[in-house]
Amino acid sequence: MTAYSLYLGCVIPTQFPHVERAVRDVLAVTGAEVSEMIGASCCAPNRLFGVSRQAWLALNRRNLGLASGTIVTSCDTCFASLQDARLALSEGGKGLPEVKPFLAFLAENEGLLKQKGRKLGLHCAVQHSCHLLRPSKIRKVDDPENPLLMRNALDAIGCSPVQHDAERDCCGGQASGPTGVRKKLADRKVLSAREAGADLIVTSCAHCLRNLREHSGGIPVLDIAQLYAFALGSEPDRVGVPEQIAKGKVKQL
Amino acid sequence: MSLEGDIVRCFQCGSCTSSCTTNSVMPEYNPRRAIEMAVVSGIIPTAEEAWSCSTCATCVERCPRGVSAMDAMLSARELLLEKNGEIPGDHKAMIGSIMSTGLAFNPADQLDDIRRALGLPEVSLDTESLKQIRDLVEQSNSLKSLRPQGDGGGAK
Repeated sequence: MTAYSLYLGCVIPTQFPHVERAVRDVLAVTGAEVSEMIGASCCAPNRLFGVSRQAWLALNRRNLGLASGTIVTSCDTCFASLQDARLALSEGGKGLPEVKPFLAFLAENEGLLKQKGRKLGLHCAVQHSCHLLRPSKIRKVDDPENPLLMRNALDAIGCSPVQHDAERDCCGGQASGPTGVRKKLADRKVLSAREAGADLIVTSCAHCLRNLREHSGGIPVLDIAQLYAFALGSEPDRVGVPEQIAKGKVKQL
Repeated sequence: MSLEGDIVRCFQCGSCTSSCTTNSVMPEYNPRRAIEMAVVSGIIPTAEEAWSCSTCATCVERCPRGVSAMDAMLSARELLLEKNGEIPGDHKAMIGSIMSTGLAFNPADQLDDIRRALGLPEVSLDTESLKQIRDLVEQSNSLKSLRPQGDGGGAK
């Protein structure tokens, strides 16, 4: 059995506790041995938002030191930040724990999860998170031009991705400043998903989740962990799956 | 004072700008031109430019010269903070929040009750961890200008 350490970051535990519940429920179903990273801080993404490479590295040296196994992150931005720090601190990350995004964990356990999970029959507008994919020479988990991790994960629980124009665009969640870039990009993404007739938008990054929910205009925006937990038997209330999704097209196979 | 991202290697093809997420909704945002200005004239991007980068890293992925316009923009943010104390209020608040709680975001309304009902552990960090985290952030040279304020307000 592989030993994992769970890194939850800031956004999910403080803003979206039902997503954390979902992540933990899915991990429990796989039977993976998972330890907590007690005392872990924010991953200080993008080198502490750009303003201190020094503080970013120091915080993540500490975070990496708290892990007792391969780190599984519930947020793709945390994945990128911890992975970058790992490589900056030691050549090839030698001597430091590996860092794995939740989608890669799902892929590794696909057989078991597919067998245990219900088929949900939902039409999903996929939000491929930037920090999962690029730069691909560093991330090395998926093809940035033809990303498959999320599509395969959805397929395993009987959901189908809906083609939409803005599928591969950034959600804008990490743009700042007075220019409104964040809202414009989120609005474009949400409109694209709606026009394609999606039941919901699905992502694997807490910052995409936060930004798209803020600008969703009513279309549900869920983390992939929520769909998995629901497919695996968690009650919809427990993992934050809205009624319209829970009662929609779920069919027992 | 210069930008990171190996920008001297840039041969001005414009792949970064043509694939840029931010440029697609803010046409005046032009990473190719920002790199040209920095290399030729030593002019660094404005705060508005530097903070408009969404960090999608498409420019890094597509650059045929191994330049990172994203890293150039991120390093510009650090220079702007050091030089002029410029940083957007929400990010200043998030750094304050990291220093006081270890996390960049303040708890959502009724978080403790919701977490308890879901059987989740408390999010608050222990005193020793908080001290370590604060010390690590305080040691940063570029964050010196933020110290006197020491506000602990975070984003929601």
